[in-house]
Amino acid sequence: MAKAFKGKLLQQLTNAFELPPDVVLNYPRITITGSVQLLMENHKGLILYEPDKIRIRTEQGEAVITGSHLKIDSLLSSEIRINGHIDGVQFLGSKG
Amino acid sequence: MLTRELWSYYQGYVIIKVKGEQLEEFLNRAAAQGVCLWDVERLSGELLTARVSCADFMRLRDAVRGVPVTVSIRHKVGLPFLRQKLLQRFALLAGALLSLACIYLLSSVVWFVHVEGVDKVDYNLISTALHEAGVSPGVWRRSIEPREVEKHLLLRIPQLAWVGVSLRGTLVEVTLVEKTEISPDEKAPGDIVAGRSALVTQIIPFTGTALVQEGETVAEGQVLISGALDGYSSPGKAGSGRYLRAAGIVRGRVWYRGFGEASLVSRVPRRTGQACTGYSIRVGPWSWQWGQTVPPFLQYEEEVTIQGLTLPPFGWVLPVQLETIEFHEVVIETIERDLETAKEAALRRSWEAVEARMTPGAEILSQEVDVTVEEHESGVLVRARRTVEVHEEIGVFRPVSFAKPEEIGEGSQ
Repeated sequence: MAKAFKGKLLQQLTNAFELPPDVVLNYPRITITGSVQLLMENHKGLILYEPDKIRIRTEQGEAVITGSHLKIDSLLSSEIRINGHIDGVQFLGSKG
Repeated sequence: MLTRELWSYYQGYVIIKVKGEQLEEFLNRAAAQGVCLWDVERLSGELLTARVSCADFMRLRDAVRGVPVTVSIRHKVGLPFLRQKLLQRFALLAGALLSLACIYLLSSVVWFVHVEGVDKVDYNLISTALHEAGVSPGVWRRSIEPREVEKHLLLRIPQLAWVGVSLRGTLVEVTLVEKTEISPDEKAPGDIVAGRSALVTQIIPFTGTALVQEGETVAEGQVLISGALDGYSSPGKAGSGRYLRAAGIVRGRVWYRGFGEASLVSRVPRRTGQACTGYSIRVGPWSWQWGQTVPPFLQYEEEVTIQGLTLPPFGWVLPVQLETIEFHEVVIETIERDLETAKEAALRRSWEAVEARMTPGAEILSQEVDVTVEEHESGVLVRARRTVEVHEEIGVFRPVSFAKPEEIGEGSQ
């Protein structure tokens, strides 16, 4: 309850001061180039990696990338780059 | 992307195969350890391949600890591995270096010297001069200084106007331009003399003094325009022997006589159509013959053709020669002509005799022809005498010879 309250407060503060949420709240920042490449910064680890589906843990819950021939081009502790054909990105169980 | 690939190739990387159930966990642990994985590809539920740099591969062991996966190396890619492989195969490396050294050595030697633009200058003179300047097949490229070679050639051979020397690989190209010199003969002083005996009709001196008048008859060799400067020399230096190159136009009437004869009966060889062929092949100093090499006819004509073998793409002449000798049998036929044809032939020959001596382009003033028919024991002969009067240039230049100064102006007396 306290954590949720803290999160809400931070979010309001971020809005009030027009701060970038990816920096302050550690939210994932996703850059998609066409439908062939996806770059996600601030990820919290892989949950599932299959050629047609990748699930990634983030601060905001779980991001699901669907597509075909998905390939992890590079994997660093805070950055993941995915190549292949991307059909969609979905956030599951997002808080707030 | 290319830069990353080149960099990782330079550093060396391994393609690993990871087998197990919790592959995602393995990837997360690796990322958390700061190990950079790239080109991660899932091949099946329990198998994936990835690339990792050599340095990171060592740290991967910690990441794997506690996760039930097995990591194995499929491929080693990159320069460090290549270097290792090459070091193990010393002979290959040494051979490669040796051949590189050979190519370098051979390409730093001049193999060909091409000289262009040689016309009048003796080629041997040029090649000797080039030799002196240090340009010949087999010398080091570095030892050739094109500007110096050019200078040397120009100093050494005064007939050259310009020399260009350029080094192109193992070829030295020498381009020459020769001076267009007026030969000393064309500058020598002298007189215009009569080329043939004639009646002078026109005399226009450009340089020198005219010694004959229009209407005068001159003999062959007589001086028409003198180049002597005696008349103009200062009183104190009379007869100093200064001489000009006389020039001018002298035209005159000249008479030519020509003679021609033709017989009514002429003997002409004619081929009968009988022929045979002999061959001989020559390879260096040896030769073989076959076919008819000795003529089987009493009277015959011989035709010899020699064929040399060449290799067209290289222009080489091989020392192989094929000689073909054809013998044609002939019979001598006597052909009788009528008088008119013989006369024509005689007239034509007499004209040819005149034309051969005449200056080309001479103006013909008059002609006289006298034809006689004579009986001989061998047959009837037709003779033609022709006298042609022409109007033509008669002046011929004759250089003065200083060795005999007393002969100067001989024709003027």
